[in-house]
Amino acid sequence: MKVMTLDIIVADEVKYMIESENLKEGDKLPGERELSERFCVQRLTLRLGLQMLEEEGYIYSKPRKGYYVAKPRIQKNVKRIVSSSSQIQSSFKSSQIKLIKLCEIEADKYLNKETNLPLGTRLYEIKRLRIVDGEPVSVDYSFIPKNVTPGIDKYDFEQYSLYNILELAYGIQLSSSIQTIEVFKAEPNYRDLLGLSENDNIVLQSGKVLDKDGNLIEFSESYMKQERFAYVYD
Amino acid sequence: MDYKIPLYIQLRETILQRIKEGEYLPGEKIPSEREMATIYKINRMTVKKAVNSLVEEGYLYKVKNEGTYVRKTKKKRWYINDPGLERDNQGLGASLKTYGYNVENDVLEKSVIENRHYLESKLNLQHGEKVYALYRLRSVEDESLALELTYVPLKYFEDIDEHDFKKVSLYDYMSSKGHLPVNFKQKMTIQNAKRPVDKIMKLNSDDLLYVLEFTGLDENNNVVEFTVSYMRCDKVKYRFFIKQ
Repeated sequence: MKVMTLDIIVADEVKYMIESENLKEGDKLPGERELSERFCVQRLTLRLGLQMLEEEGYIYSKPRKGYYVAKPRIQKNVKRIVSSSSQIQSSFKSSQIKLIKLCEIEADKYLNKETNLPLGTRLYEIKRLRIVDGEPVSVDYSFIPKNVTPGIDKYDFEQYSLYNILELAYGIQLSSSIQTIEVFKAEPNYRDLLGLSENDNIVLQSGKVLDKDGNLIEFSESYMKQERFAYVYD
Repeated sequence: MDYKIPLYIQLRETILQRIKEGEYLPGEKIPSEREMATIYKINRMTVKKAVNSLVEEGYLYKVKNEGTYVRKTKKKRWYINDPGLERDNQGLGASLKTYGYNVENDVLEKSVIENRHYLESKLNLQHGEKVYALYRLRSVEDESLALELTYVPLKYFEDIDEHDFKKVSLYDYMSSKGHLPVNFKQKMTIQNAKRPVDKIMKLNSDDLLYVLEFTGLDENNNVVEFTVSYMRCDKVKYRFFIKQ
């Protein structure tokens, strides 16, 4: 079986064109005729290539008008422990946090399994919605043992990032983390917030964050729209 | 763990942790009750209680006169660590092998290609410089886990076509040429299976893949590799470590 076909190669070349000519969200691509001449391929081959890019979310099309560069994915750095806010690139106009829930809970069976904290350990649960350019893109949960950050519920999580608060108010230096990224069918507790239906997929990044002595500071879960994020490491 | 927690629960958690982290692999025998009682200097009954609770929950099963084994889960999951994150873990092959599995490499296609602007920009090449393409399907125990489309600049690896990468590790070869990738830049997205991956890996369009695109730089900061790797989300769990 041939791995590479002409339409896939064309799709790559269109990606290169978008990058090298620095085309931005909403910019129109040249017409089909011009592109097929430029890449020396048949119109049908070009269309198949463009269709692939559309499925990948690089471009979108308007009937009888043409193809346009789509919104870029939000790049999430998976090399450092930093707040998501500080990562949202300048290519987005706005990024805001809406606090959904901030309360004290006790570790249940699920949290006990994930954190190894004994059942009934008191924790703060912080649940927030991240909105980028007006679109809700992720629901982020943080679970923090109460004895690590007593009184953290008095801070304004819409104003300050959790990691800022941990560092500045509690002098906590985050040191290491093991995280996983998986994909599931969206569940009700965040589906509505993100405007998803039950057939949509959701990406979960989760993990424990430890300080330099290996103490658990946070267990975090971030439920993200599948097509809106890219996880980068450099 | 809190030292006030009953011993059998602590032991239970320790065993469970080792199963999760892959130290005790599915199908493998865990230390006998007698051994654990000796190692931890605890009563045999305490060990029994810990083991039995894991048997009840389905993590372990006992075989008469033989011992206690880790149950094979219906869905096998391999962990994929980031390339190059740990020194011993370079490449998918190495990273899976550490968990006790052998990776089969099938070379689907290999060729010299040129005039591809996209690849030239990824590999930091001048227009017209030759690229060597190596497409491999990587399977574990007859299950195809990953399709890897690897591109390297031919100028660093002029005799690359003479090697059989079904047998030889690509990174061992690259290392022998003095161009082992040691730093990586990577982007990962999750996408539905599509051409050409779906047919090769026998997937449906609603199957999901981790799509890893990464460039590897050697110690002199030459870009020596650009790879697009497709891995099945239902078979593999993407995991990464952060240390700062």
